[in-house]
Amino acid sequence: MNYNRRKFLGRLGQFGLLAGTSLILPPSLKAFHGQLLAQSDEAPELIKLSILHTNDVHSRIEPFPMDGGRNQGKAGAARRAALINKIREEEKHVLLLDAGDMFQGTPYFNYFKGELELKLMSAMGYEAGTLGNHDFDAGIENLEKQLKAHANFPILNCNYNFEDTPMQGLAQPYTIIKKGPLKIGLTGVGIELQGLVPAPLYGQTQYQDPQKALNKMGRFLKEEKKCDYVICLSHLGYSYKHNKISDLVLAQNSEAVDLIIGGHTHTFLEQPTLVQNPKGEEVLVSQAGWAGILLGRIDVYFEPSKKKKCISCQNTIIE
Amino acid sequence: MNKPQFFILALCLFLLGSCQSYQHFVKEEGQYYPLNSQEYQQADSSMANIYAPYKEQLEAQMNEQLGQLSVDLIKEQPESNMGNFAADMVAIQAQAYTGKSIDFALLNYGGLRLPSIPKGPLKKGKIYELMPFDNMIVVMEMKGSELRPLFEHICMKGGWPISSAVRMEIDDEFAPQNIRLEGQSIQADKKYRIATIDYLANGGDNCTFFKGKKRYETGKFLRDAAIEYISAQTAKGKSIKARKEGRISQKK
Repeated sequence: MNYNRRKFLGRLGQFGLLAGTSLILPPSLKAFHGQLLAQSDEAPELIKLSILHTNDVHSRIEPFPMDGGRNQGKAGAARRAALINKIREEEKHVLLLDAGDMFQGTPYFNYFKGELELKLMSAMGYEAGTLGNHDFDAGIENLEKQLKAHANFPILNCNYNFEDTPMQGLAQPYTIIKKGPLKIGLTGVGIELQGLVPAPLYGQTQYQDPQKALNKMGRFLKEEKKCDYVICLSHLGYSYKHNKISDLVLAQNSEAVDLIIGGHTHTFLEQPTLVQNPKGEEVLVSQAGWAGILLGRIDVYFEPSKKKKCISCQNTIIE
Repeated sequence: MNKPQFFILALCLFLLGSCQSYQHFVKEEGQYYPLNSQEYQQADSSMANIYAPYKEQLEAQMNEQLGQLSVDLIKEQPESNMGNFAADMVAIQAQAYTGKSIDFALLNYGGLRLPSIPKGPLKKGKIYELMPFDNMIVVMEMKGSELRPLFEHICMKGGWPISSAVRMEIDDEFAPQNIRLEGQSIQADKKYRIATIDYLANGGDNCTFFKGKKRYETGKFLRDAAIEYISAQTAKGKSIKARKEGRISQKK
């Protein structure tokens, strides 16, 4: 279960550009050019971001009981926390995310209405989450109450209009998390609730087109907020046979999103899926089963030289 | 051009090359850790410390005695006392939750997840085992003329839990015969209210006949309704009993 891709614009791309320019440069520069190449060959240290993710944990606080079921002994918050701690010790920049349906599935939710799930996630150091349909299962008032009391991480969603609901102002359309020199933009999209969740439970929540909302948010995070990397936490589902919006469709039609961390369909992937958007850019789609049976991990490597300077540099060249 | 100028130009070209698009990163790697007990034995005790008091409370809750069961409840087809208990409970609770009169209640056979419950003290944990799914009670409104496919479906499935208002027979062709509601035949123009669970109302278990019909939500889980019902019976000093009474029978 390992996966690796190199972006088209890796260091090779820059070498190509420099090689091209060397043709028009006077001989005196060639030596310097060579020197620069030599320096680059030493491979500048890449900045590594380790993104850990779960989805559809469904109140699985303890491991599955040893009752002969296919998942017996798997999952559990204590085991997951131990692995997360270990990775945090090994890596400098770690991001811990969840893609919704934190609630429902064991009596822990029926009894404590999400309190324990959120307490554990907060203690584990989750840095952002999004809403799944089951997170509304004890009603939107309960959701608001539990999040306010027990969650220390933001809940992200850009396609639910929470106007006139208790969730207004509590769910955020986006957040930006800084990891060392990196600026990570995060947002979330949720599934159509009508027909899936009884109407009294989600109240006045208005579902809006997740594609439009995400594309707008992606552009905003990259162009206006200058994020190095944009992640969408999605509870739409990995893919469907019929024509329904899913993470794969979302990625295919996306703009300015690098990674979609999904949920809802409880999909077990061998490796994250690579999808091309209309601009030919690659978007990665991941999902980690359900119940905390898996912990997903995506390591992203960034080049340290790529700092905000590019625009002023362009100006210099034009002059 | 002197050397510093060249340096700036070269540096700018280098940076431009890296900033042509927003793809700032060069490489991604993905993997999934399987959190099973063999490979990941280590557990963070601080997590267990957080949930221990909840676990204790939950176990106490699950051991809470809701009432007394005075007969063994057995699940069987075409009719069973377990199914009769569950369907009657749904009809009574749905009427209480919606304030609307209910003509009958219907559940699916597969939705009851215990083969039997022995008579004796009835604990809350047993109801969680019997009804683990988070199905909610809903009320569907249908005209008498639209009910035929519903009864046909019950027959095709070998008999489903249905409330006491209903009597019907299943013939050799798995078709319904002699359907009676409160002793009356079905009136084509009359509106009937059927209490069921959202899973079936949404078309689950091939219940296509509910599609597009008027629907009232209760926002109540089947399980919670059963707990409330049993507790209310206990408060009235009544034990829980149910019997087979020929609601659905094989036509002879």
